[in-house]
Order: sequence, then C-alpha cells, then structure tokens
Amino acid sequence: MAKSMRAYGLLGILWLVWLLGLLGDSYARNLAVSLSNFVGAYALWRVAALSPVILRVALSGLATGLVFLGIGDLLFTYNEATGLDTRAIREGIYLVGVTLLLLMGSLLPFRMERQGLYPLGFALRLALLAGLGGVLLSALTTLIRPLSLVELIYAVVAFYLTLLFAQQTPVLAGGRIGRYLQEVVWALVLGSLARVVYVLGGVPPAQWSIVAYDVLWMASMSVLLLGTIRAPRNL
Amino acid sequence: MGENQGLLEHISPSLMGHLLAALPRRDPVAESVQGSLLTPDLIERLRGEGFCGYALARFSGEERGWLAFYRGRLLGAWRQTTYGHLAGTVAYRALRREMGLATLSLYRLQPDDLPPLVALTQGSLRATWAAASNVVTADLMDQLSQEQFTGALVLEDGLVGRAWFFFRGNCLFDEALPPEFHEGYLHLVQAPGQAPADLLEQAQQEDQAQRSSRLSVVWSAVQEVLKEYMGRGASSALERLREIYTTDDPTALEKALRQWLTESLEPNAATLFDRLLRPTL
Repeated sequence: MAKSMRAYGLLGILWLVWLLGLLGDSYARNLAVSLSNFVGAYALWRVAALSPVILRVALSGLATGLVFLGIGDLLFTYNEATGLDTRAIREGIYLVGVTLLLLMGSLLPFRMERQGLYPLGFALRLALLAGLGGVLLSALTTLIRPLSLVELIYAVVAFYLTLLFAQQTPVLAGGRIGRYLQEVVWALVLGSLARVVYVLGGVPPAQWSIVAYDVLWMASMSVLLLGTIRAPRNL
Repeated sequence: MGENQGLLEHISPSLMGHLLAALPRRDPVAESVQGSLLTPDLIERLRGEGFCGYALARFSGEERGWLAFYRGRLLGAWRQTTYGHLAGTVAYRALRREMGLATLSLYRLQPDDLPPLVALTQGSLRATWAAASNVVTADLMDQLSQEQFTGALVLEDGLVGRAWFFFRGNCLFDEALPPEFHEGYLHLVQAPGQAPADLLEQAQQEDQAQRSSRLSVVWSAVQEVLKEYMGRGASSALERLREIYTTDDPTALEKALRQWLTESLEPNAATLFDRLLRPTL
C-alpha cells in the first residue's frame, strides 16, 4: 500500500509538471507524459505480482511494452528539448514496444484457453473479431486523415487490443480475474481514444489534440495505477 | 431392523461365531492359511468357478468372520467385533480390510446346503426364545418335514449353543435332533424365499455410488472456486475442465485439479478448494 501511495504521489507530481509544462509551453509537458508510461508499467507489474498465475506473463509483457513506449517518449522529449533528431531510433523502440503489447495482450486469451478456462476455439474467435474490428476502425480513421504505415500499425494494435480485452470483460465479469483486468481494459479504451484524438488533430497536430492526447494517455496510466489499489487481495 | 436379519439381533455375536465355527468341514479347500490370501483375484476366481461353500476367518481374541458363497455369488458376510457384529457389505468390506490379520479356512458345500446357512444371518424369524424343554422333538420334526422347512434351528444355553440345518424338511450334515431338549431356548429361522442380493455386486454398486458422489463433491468445489475467479465464465470453464479431466477416480481427480488450480490460478485457489472439500479443515 505504501508503495502504491508513493506511486500515486509521483503521478500527482507528473500531472503538476505536465500542467506547468503546458502553461509554460515547455518540454516538461512531454517529460511528464513520458514518465507516466513508467508509472503505468510499474502499476502493471504490481498487479501482475498480485494476480493469478495465468495473468502474470501477459501483464508483465504489457508492462515491458509500456517501458519501451516510455523510452520512445523520452527520446521524443530529448528531441524537443535539444533539437537533436531521434526519430529513427525512436520509431524502432516504439515498434518493439507495440509488438510486445500486441503479442503479450494476444497471449492472454490463448493461455486461458490452453489452461481450460475458456472453451475451445474461443481465443481464436476473440482474436479474429478483434483483428477485424481493429482493421475496420483503423480504415475508418484513415478516412479522417491518411495515416503513414507506422501510424496505421499503432492504430490497428491499439484498437485490436482494446477490442480483444473488452470482449473478455463479459465472460470474466464478477470474478477475481475480471477485477484484475478491468483497469487494463479501461486503460486500453483511453489509449485507443488517445490515438483517435491524435489522428483528429491533423498534421502538424492542433494544440487541442495535443492536450487531449496527453490527458487521455496520462489518465490511462492513472487508471492502471488505480488498479494496484483496487486489485483483489489474497483469499 | 428388517425382517430378514436372521438371528443377528437375537443371539449374541459370540454364539453366532461359535455356530459358524462349528459348520461342517468335510471338504476343505484351504485350512488355516494366511488371511491375506483372500485377494480380490481369489474372490474373482471363486466367483468364476461358481464356488459353493464358506470362508471362515479367525482373528485374535476369538473374533470370527464368515463369508458364504452360493454358485459364485457372495450371499452372506458376517464379522464379529469386540462389542457386536457387522453384516452385509459392511462386514465384507471390514473382512477385506482386516483379512491380513486373520487365518483363513475355506470349505466347499453342496448348493442345497447354503440356503439354511444363509438363514442364520438373512432368514426370517419363525420362533425365538422358545423354552427348549417344552418342545417335543418328534412333533417339531413332523412339522418341519411336513412343511418342507428350509432353515436353521438354534439351541442356546448360555454361551454354548448348537445349530441344526434343514433343507426341504430334511436334516443336513447327518446331524439329527436329539430325542428331547433338557434346557435352554430354541430359535427357528427360515431361509429367505428369494436368494439375497450378491454382496459383491452390491459392494461394487455402493463403491460406484460413493465414487460418483465424491466426484460430484469435487466438481462442485471446483465450480465454487471457478465462480470466485472466473465469475460469469465459470460454467463454461467447468465444462472445459470436465472434458480435460475425465478420470472417474475421485482421489486422482482431486490431486490433478489441486495441481491445476495452483499452476493456473494460485496456491490460495487450491486452499479454497481444499476448504470446500473438507469444511472442517
């Protein structure tokens, strides 16, 4: 509990730094968003440690993916602060992070099925529906604004993961596993919304979309941290 | 007590033991061998051969056990205990469990000899505690012969006693009634009209019912744990687990599911499972 409170304190400071950065139009805003990824990763690891065995690998994998996104964001902040172009290396790190999120998120339903917690074929059905939904939503997003290949990949993965986890919510409702995952689902929904807002902002992004993106992303990390307090304790 | 309890509730276990120990031993199959030889295989062999006869087990302290086979079917089982006796499948199970501590003798009989013997533990009571001195032996014999009586007549005087067995009115084992009785009491039990149920089959059915009941308890406990962890998805998870774990051995199932709960969920899930299985823990 003390550790969670410290993390909450840190997140509070990050929100403050973000606000000051926004008001002062400084790179502190980017720094706060970048660091919030690490708070989110910490939260996921904490929940993974408390949760049933079946969730641990997937949650730890998602946390690792978030760390990569955080590193990418830090490189972007460095870019903003110093003017040194980090785009090439940043994109690679983002891709590693997104791939990790994709693989580890997909692992969960298949693992649940293999262990006998889901009916046979259920995980594949979830993944196919989520994949189809992800592609469709990304295609719709492309109608708003043409996306580059990398942006398209990010959008597909964000929508896919959100749909994949959201489909599992009704099946797991009322159980401990569902309670461990509900904050992850909310965080994914907020993350997906952040992607939509990012796309709506145009190129270069409008100020409102930058602010909305930051708020949604940091809210997503805050929700993950909330999960460490709300996660069920041992029986 | 039901009607077909023979003399179980009317004579002392020690007298019953004495009567069974005094049964004819003309055609021994085995005498005073180790009780552990009465294995399930041997019982299956006796069953397969259509064995007619009885097995007598002697335990320390003069306690006895008895099994009666009729054409391979186990029609009677009796086990003397320190303060009483057991009969039926309970006695059969006790004997199987404790046979290693006993010496065993096995005697063959003619099929017609068995119904009167079985009457001792499963017959219907015709008369009990009749003063022996008031009974005229010749009249009794006439009556039993006339009605073609099949069963047993037991004379009890204190702990010592004697039994005569009749098949269709004829005395068996060349043991005629004495000309007159001087003292004691007489009990008359008639062989059951229909052959009693095979205790081996009955024991197997009981085992099966017990296994099914235990399996259902185990699955209920898992269902409760799944409800705790899976919420609404518990029923489909249970269905899937039933497809995976198909054993009908409750102990093996319990062990496999406990391991599954520990490895898939957490040790606390296994603890909850144990608590549900054994609420007194």
